[in-house]
Amino acid sequence: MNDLIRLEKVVKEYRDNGVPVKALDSVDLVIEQGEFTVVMGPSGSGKSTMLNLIGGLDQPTSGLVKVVGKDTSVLSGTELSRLRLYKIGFVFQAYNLVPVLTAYENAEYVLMLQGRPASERRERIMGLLKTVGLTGLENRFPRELSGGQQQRVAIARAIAPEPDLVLADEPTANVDSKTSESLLDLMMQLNADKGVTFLFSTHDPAVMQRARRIIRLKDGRIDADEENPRG
Amino acid sequence: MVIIRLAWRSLWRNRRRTIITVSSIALGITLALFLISMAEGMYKKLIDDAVRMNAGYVTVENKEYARAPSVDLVVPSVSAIESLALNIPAVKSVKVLIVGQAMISTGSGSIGVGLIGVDPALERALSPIARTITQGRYIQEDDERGVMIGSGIAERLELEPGMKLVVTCNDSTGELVNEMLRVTGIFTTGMEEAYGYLIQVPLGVARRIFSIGPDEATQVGMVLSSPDRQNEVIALLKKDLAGGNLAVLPWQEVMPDLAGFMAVDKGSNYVFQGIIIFLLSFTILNTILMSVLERNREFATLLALGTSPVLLRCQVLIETMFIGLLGCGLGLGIGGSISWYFHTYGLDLGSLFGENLTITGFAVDPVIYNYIGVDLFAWLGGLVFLLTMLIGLYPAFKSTRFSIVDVLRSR
Repeated sequence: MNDLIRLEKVVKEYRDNGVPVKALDSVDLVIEQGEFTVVMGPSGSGKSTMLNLIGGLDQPTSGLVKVVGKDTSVLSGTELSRLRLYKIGFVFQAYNLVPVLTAYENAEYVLMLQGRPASERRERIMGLLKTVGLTGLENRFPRELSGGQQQRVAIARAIAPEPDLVLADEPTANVDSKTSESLLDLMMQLNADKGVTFLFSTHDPAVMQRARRIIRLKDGRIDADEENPRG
Repeated sequence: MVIIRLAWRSLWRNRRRTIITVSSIALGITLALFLISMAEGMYKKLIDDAVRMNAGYVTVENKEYARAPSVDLVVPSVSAIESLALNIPAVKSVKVLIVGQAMISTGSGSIGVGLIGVDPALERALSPIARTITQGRYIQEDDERGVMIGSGIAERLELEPGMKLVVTCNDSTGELVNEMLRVTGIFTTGMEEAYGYLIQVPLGVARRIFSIGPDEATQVGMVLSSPDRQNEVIALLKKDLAGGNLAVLPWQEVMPDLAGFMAVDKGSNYVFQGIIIFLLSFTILNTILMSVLERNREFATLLALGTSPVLLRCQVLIETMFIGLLGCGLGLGIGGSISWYFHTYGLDLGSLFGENLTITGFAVDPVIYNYIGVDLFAWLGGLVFLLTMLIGLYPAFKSTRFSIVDVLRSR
């Protein structure tokens, strides 16, 4: 297996009212291609910080963050944008759909930025929307969709370009348990069928049950890193 | 392209704000376009009347004449210059003038006047004086003693058509001469400097009074098919008349008072328009900046998804461009329609200023016809659009100046 993500002695320090606070403290981590991994821990344990560093949205105070073989600290803003565009999909807790684009257009957005042909985009997005159970809702705007439906669109947007990695920050936090189950089914299926690597941060037991690997963070450090026999 | 779609739809996210901004730009342009086109129309009419009544858009005269006008400073070989000028396509007609000072007397008194010798046939077609006859008729070429006088002169000397007056002046040799003339008609231009001071006689009579040769005059004026061709005509005439004792002058140098007034009036007009557009720019800046700042989360998401910061700034600039295009288009449409109406039917200021409207001593028709020209639309629309785009640069720059993580973390 190939290393998709490599963190070596990663420290991320914030200043809170002038006082330095370590969100991540000397974290070492390797995640390989095709993993379905959950990062869990209490609020403030550093889950979101870790995902942000891996997604190239933030830079470590010290240490090495390598994603798809690239050291994110040496990449320019444009190179980081390209890394996110072509290699990483994001699913946010608050969905973060573009309100003026329809469900179809939101899912299509990244493919358009990549410059994929219209016919390919159409075929792929219609197929994906069918997969996530949104057939017939393509032309609805986010305000016309339920929370679960919006998160499905967000997942479709994240996986449409078939990225190497999907980072999902508490993707089920704002949806009911039934919707949560169906979204997890969908992501597991994509992981199995397409080999897409998923890295979640979550508090949701349902997600933890499905994960094949669970990383527990506490006070910015990895407290436990274990295989999940039930995953 | 997805950013164009995003930009267009984002524009209508806050419909009321966009409509107010677009309307503000449109209103500013409408007002500026109407006022400028009215002023330009008035200037053009004023210049046209002034040059037709005086010595044309381009004047040939003795080099010394402007400094100390005198009937002994003549233009020789007038007919040759006339032929030369008429061969230039931009020259519509050529006015030959003899302008001098004189005293006129009747039994009621004496006053000083400006005596102008004109070609009556040409003057009838060109000059506002020939169109404002209140009594009698205009002079004819064969009127050996005919004279047109202004209504102010007629009133002061109690003259009517058919009555006699005596002209006394120094001729070109310095001799004091007297000549008896008979009033053929009385004009009133609405301009006291004209109706209270000017008298017109046929060229032959003026030559006789001032002892000027048959092929001589004090000024030769060119009336042009378009004022825009003034420089072209001056260049050609200067080339052809080089080496002589003649000056080829634009009307601005022959009538510096009028040119000066227009420069000042245009300047103050543009300052006023500039203030309106400056105030307008704050509305535009406010709208675009607000629309950017309230979308930080959306922009952070787009950046996280891999949108490059440059593309995001382009999106903001495209939104600005849409606002600019809509505002300018609407403003030019409305302002252009209003200006076109007054260009066609005229705006009658007679009720405000009376029939005798004068500007810096020059009579102006109280009905103003707005000027309509592609140049006016292009520079005004272009200027406001450019300003809008410049204003959009700051919000575009601001649109990516934040920490993605901080914005996405905020609830």
